[in-house]
Amino acid sequence: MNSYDELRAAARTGDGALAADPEVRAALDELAGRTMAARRTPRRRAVPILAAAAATAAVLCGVAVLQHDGPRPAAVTQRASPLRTGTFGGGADGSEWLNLGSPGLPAYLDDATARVPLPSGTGWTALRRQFASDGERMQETSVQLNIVRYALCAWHDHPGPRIDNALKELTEWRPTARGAHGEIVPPRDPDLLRPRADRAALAAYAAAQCGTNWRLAGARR
Amino acid sequence: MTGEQRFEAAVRRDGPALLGYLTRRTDAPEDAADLLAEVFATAWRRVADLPPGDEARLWLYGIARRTLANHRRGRVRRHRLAARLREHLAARADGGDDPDDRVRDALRALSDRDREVLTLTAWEQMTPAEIAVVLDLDPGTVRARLSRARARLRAALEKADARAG
Repeated sequence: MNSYDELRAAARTGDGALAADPEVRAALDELAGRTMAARRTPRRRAVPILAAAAATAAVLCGVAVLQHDGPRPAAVTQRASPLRTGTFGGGADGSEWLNLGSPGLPAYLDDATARVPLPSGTGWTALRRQFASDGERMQETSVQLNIVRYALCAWHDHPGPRIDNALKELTEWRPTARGAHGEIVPPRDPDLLRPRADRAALAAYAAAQCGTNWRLAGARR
Repeated sequence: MTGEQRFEAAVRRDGPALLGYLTRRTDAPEDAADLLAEVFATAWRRVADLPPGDEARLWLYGIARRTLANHRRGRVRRHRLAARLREHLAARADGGDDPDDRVRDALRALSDRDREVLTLTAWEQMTPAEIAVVLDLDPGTVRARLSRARARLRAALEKADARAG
């Protein structure tokens, strides 16, 4: 037996065996169906819900009844946890502490990631999920630093044909975090500049910071 | 064909192969269920980009590969939707095949790049041209990488045999 045959034989699970297993097929069908249903439900239900809300509003207006002591609307509840805390760091990092549990975080991340290139087909989902931990706060420079770190790891894992351009673009990336007086707060990690310019430096950086070594950098509280 | 129909057709046709791809690359087979749920969720979210015909298979492998890389970067997320598949895979693993440790050790000794092209060709039975699509590389680069990786695997196995013998 040659090494190629041995390698094939070493596969733990054969696709044929999986495809022939009726329980696997049933579970896959169920998973696919539920995936579609889970993502479809909010959109499809939006119209009836809006219609019901409009109808309810019309009835309430018609009889001129206004309830002031009912449940608080979602928008009011969300304003209770703003992204910007108004608390700024002292010392080397004077940027603002951001509330990562805030509903304003996704929009902030949309803006902050827009200037940072990722390999085609990859996305920010894993990073967004890591950030979104209710009740914890992180300084704005750290949030932005983690975005660049994550992009560097993604480029190392998926070095597509655009990698050289992307690293060049990343060298031009500058943080936008501001201090209490509106001044730009520079990042505190000068080592991050090297992998942004050089593929060899990127490999060294990735060995230390990516894969199983990946963690969000920066204090949380 | 609507996006919904194309998605259903693609996951029905390629689901078992994608599950096999993930199972062969995770330590715990049941993790593959959660990763597959993530792959399906991503594919469904991006269903407008789902290419027609056989390209859909390679597109799904591309998503699976990135999902796996994210998984290695962090912890696997438990999907409520994957509970049934997870339980079944865990039960299946108890009576499953016994992998050849010698080959797996040799494979583990290779670089990620070598391992990836070798396993895509040996386990997923992809051609270099197909691997090139999944890895977003030039087919010539894949062929050269594959040739070097095969030589390194052969050398690693010979070394293991010499040590054992």
